[in-house]
Amino acid sequence: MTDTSIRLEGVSKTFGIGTARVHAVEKVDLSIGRGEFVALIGPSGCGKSTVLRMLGDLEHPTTGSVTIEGVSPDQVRKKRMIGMVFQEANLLPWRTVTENIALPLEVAGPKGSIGARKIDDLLELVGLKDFRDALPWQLSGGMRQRVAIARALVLNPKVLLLDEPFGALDEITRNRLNLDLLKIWTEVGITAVLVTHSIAEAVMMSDRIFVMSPRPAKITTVIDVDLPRPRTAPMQRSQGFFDLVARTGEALYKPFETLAESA
Amino acid sequence: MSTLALSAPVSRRLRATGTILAILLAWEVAARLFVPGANPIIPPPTVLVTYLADHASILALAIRPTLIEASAGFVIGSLISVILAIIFVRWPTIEAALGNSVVLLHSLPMLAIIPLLVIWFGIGYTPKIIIAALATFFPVLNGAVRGLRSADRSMLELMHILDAHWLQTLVKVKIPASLPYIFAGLKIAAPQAVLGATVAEWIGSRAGLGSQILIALLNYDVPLLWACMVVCALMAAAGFCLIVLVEYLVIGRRAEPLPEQD
Amino acid sequence: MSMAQTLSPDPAAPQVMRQILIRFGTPILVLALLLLWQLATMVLATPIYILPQPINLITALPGTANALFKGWGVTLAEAATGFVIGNLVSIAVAFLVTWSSAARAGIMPVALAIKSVPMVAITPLITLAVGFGHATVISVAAIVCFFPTLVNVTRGLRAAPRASVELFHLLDANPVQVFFKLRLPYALPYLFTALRITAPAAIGATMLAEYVASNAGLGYMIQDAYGRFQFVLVWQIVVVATLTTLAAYSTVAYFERRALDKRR
Repeated sequence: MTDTSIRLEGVSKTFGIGTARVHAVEKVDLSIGRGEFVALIGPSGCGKSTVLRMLGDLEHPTTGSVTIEGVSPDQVRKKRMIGMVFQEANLLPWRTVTENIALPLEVAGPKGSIGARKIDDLLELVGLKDFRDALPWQLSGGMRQRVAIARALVLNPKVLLLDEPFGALDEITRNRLNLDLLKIWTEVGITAVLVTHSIAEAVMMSDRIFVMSPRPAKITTVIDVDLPRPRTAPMQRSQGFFDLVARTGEALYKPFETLAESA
Repeated sequence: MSTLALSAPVSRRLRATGTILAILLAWEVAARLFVPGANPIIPPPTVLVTYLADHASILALAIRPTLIEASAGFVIGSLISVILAIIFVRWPTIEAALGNSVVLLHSLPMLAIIPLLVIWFGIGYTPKIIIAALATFFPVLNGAVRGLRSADRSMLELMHILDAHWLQTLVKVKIPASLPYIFAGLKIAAPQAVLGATVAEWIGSRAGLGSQILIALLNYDVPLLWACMVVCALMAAAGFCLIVLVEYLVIGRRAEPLPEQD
Repeated sequence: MSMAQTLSPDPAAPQVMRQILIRFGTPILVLALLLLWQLATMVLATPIYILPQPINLITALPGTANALFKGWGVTLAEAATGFVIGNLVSIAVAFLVTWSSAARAGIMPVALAIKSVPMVAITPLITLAVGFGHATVISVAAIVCFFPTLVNVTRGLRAAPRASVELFHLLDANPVQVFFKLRLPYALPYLFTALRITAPAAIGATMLAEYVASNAGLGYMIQDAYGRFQFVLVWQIVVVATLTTLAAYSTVAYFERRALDKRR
């Protein structure tokens, strides 16, 4: 592991006040190295998205500290070093693909765009060169997410946050996009945090998997994914892959199984 | 969820009521302070209420024709709208041909139609009923067409598998699905009908709230004018509330709230 | 009947036929009615005060064109002024309401309650306060435009999806950028809906207000013509008023299509 890029220490998050309080995240500690690709996996509603959103300065921890390259997410955001991909692509419907990818450049202005990637390169990278002038309604769900990924990368951020980006897609498309994302990540060399509830996706994509418990989210297990890089499609049918999936599944379902047994 | 926190709709309604009371209070104070005189342009609410109480019988007499016109127009307009909506949905070709005509009809300014109606039908009830019906027509037609089309596609496919006759599908699936939308249209239409009848009376009438308003205007009788307008507004509100009541009786809690439309 | 026929519009009539009906259905109907009107009045020899022949409307034009044009000009000017004032003020209040929850709590319940009520009924009141004449008419037109636009634009200003707002936050966009690049485009359809509703409403309200409170404009002219038994003039005014309303609606609809064309 290279030097630490992201660190969460003792982070918890509670929403609401009084009797309507929701304890989303409880005492999470984790470190992510620069250039690492990690996955956060857990049951629905467990708070893993909340952890990711704290990294993106969309939520603030109730206790504990979140730092990216030693600096708070707030400041990192202001320096535009974070790229985020949501589950819904959220493209602006009246802008073409190119215009959508250009949005961060417009917002950051000429000063903020120093060191930005060229849009054409990004279009090539995500495989949408022939669609540069298409409108969102003309694209499939998978294509829209590619645009969202390109948009997240245009300002050359240090960290890429992905919140169940392929959750709304069918399995086959999702598989293909996973491989594409890996290819992009390898070329760009960025620290990536992926929230997912697909075990196969987590194993396929990441260097380490953080398994989280049902709400309130705690990290129960950390699984090292020792599959070689670059990852290829056939690896998904290897014994090593299945073992990792099994181990992750065991860690993931343990809380439920214990409950069932003791019932 | 905690029982201490009021549910959102209830607290919203309380806030709205509170706002209205606050406005009334502000009105009372401001009117007394800023518009002095025995016959002010904007009377304080208390003066208004006493006037209403004193002249209740005259006002009641004036309400009757308008009420009849508005109700008759409302019922006729609604029935025609719903039937037309059913026709439109059943035979989309007709809708395609006539759709623009409906928009055209909607563009006719009321003032253009009323004199013609008065020429043809005199100054009795008929023109006002027609105007009230026209005012009802568009919101209800819109609501009904939208509503009839809102039936779940899989429900319709099920009816097809059961080899249902289009009339059965209409009665069992489409009409029940359309009820929330129709009631939304009726809620808009009820006040429109009242106001349509009232405004129609401005132009040619012997009796009714509208003509009473004109009389008040010509005589510079401010309290009477305000009283009529308040009564008119109350009638419109009453119509609205009546529809809400009927809706509750017919649909009850079974329907989900509609997505916001305009 | 096949499934396709039950569930999708009428494929029995070929597509071409359908297109023809949509585009020409109304004009054909209108022409047919005009023809019917002409024939009926000729055949039945209806008195002019019941129903003049369409031809009469045209032949009488040379005499009335001047007055019609003047009246039309007055009405158009009053309606347009009221439309602009009403909508501008309404949009400003919509902004206020969006950014201040205190303002929202005070104003929105009233606006929602009144938005469907034709405020034209308030004309006599305004006449008492402001007097007869243009000011009253314009005020009525403005008020008629105010509430529907307020409700629609308020909705529009909050129409941007939450995740897009978060995206802009992530990009550290300043409020001006958020407004022009995100909120405004999302609000535009709602604004146009409001304009489409209020344009014809302003014209209708103007005419009614003129009837009650003015001595100029088409609304007044109708009353005047009726009183002088100039029935052909009454009909001419009806036609002019209708065409104007249609033109107003179509103009807004045209700009709406052009502005919103890209997104489908």
